[in-house]
Amino acid sequence: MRYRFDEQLDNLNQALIQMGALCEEAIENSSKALMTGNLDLAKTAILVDEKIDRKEREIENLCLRLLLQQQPVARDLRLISAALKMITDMERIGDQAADISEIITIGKIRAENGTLLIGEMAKATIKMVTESIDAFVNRDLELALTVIDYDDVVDDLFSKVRNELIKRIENKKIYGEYAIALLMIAKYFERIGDHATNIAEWVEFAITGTHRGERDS
Amino acid sequence: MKRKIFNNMVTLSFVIVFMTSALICVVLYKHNFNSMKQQIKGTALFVASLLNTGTDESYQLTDTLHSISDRITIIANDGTVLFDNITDIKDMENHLDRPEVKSALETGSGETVRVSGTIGKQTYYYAIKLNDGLILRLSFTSDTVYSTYFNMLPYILLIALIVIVISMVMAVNQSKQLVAPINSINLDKPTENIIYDELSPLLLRINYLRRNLDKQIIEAKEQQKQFETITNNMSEGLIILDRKGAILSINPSAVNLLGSSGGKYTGRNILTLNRSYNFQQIIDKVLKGNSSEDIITKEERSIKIWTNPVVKEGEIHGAIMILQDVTETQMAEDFRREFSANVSHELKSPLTVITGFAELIKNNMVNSDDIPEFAKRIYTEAKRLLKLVEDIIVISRLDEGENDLATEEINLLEVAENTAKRLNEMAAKKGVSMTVTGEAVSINGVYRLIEELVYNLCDNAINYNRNNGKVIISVVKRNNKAVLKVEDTGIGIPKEHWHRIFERFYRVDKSHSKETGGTGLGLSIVKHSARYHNAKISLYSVVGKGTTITVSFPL
Repeated sequence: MRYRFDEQLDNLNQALIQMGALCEEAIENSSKALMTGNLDLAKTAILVDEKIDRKEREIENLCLRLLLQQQPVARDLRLISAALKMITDMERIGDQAADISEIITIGKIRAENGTLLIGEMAKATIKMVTESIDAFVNRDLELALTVIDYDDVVDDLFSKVRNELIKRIENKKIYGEYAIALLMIAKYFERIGDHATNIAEWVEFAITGTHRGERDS
Repeated sequence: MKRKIFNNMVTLSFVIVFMTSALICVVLYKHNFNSMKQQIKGTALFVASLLNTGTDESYQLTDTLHSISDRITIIANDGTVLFDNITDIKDMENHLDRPEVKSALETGSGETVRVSGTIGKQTYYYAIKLNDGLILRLSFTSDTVYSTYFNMLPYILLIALIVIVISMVMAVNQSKQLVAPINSINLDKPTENIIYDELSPLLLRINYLRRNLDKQIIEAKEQQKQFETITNNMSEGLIILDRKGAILSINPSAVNLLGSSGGKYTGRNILTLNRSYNFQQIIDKVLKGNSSEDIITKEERSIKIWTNPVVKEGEIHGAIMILQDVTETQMAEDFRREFSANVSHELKSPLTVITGFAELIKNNMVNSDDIPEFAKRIYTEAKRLLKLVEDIIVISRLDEGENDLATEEINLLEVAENTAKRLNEMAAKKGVSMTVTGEAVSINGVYRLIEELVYNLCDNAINYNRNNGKVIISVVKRNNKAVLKVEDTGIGIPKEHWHRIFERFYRVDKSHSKETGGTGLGLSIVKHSARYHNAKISLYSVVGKGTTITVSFPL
């Protein structure tokens, strides 16, 4: 019985890593699509999102089965409940990557020429997603905390992009529709950063059993 | 152990209890019975003597006889019962056939023991012949030996129960006492603590096994160490996986090639090392039993992965992966492919021109006046082609790495002067003046390569010059280095092209390459030649002003 439980936990771990890898792939594809204007990559990102959704169901089932059949306690219970929460965030990351790709396809967004900081944002969020999953994989509390702190960088970049877009609209250097599309892309990246932060927080919870806010107070 | 001791104890005590009680029972019973017999006989003799002497007071005697607890019967010699102190005489049959009566009638006295099977009693009869011919019989009844024993049985069982309880307690204690020293035996040195002599063969065997085991462990460790030393020092990565994809063994190279944070990966799933989609697919494939050869990219580096499943008796037990960084090989291969594509292209364009003009002439479509002009074009193109082939030969020789070319003392200034002389005519045509300055510096090198180097540099300096331009070649000795400097006043090279101009067939201005007549291989030859001599090339150029290329040879 115990052996089977360990095996199931292993499977859960593996599935989570796979789902994390899919998220990385989705967001990498959409950011590459944005940087190069390659619409095929954008479509790939949308396909990957479907895979992510399927994986979410699979992990959900696995978690519920574990909870019902094995009645885990302590650390195992924390891991499973954190997993249940994490997949929601991962699924949202996939959705948002797909949304970005959709905007790129529909809005015919040109290759990002580097004058805006959206490229920087994309890099920063990819870093966050990768590191949050790394933190989970290696149970690395330090790295999880770094990711949580790094969210400020992405937020900062977002407000810079926003201000720049406003300035360009005022100076009539950019079409309104195009500017809005870019703004939405930036906003999506910012949201992905938030979700990566959430994942990192759940990693923290799985390791320590508390959230940072609770420990401070 | 406890159980066994207990069983033995209980069995033994049971046997003892039952046998002893039986024996005691039989002996005591015999003894009792005999003394009773004696008593009866005594009483009988006493009563007989009374009856013999006092017949007159037989009525008194009757009362006396009634008061005797033993049964007394008086029988007439015809067998009729005359008196009985316990039973009514009317109910009693003739006693003549009783053996004790018979024997009393014949010999004067007789005795019998009769066992009543149904009630488990036995009766002893003693008969004596009185003087008046009557027979006096006394008898007493007692339990048989069996029923006596049977009556004792509850007590015996009680004792047995007590014995069981005592045995149980003793068995526990005993086994504890026996086992305690055995448990405390130090198995590292079994021969040093023999507590029971009976155990010494066992301990000796354990000692022997232990020594063998130690030896094997040392051997295994040695092998493990060897294996680790080999794998740790391999530049290729080696990973061994089990059936479910957990890492059984991994060497540092593999971690470096695939992993990010280092750390300990043994025992963890392979996906914790690398989770990229391509890698996952490779793992899936091999764990399904297919060997493969793939290239994945990780942070700009190409890693080739050979995988092979470990199959034993038709079942997949795991997988072995070997990883190698093939970035350089990959780049070299790309480079070679590009080179041959370029070569064919470069060879083709002059040939097209030549065949075109030749065809026109062959078909008599050219005025005879124009033929010299056409022939000149064909000649130029053929010469270009020849130059190109020569360059390609030089460069492929350099590519093949002619490491053991004969080196000699070369006067760099002399080479520069000779080259200038050779190119003088061409320079004059372009209206470029050439100057050679400096001191005589000797270096150790391959004459042919040095000559190619100087020639190509000067050739470029002339070709990419402007009218009335200048080329200054200087040779000096500086900081223990022989420095060759070729300066021109030509068109210059834009900064973004600086790092690429030494590549084969790379041209700054692609549209004008024909005019200058270069092959695109000149600077590449320079680079190779410089590298062969461990020389350093530096480039400085201002667009529209000119270019300076410096080659410094170590002395």
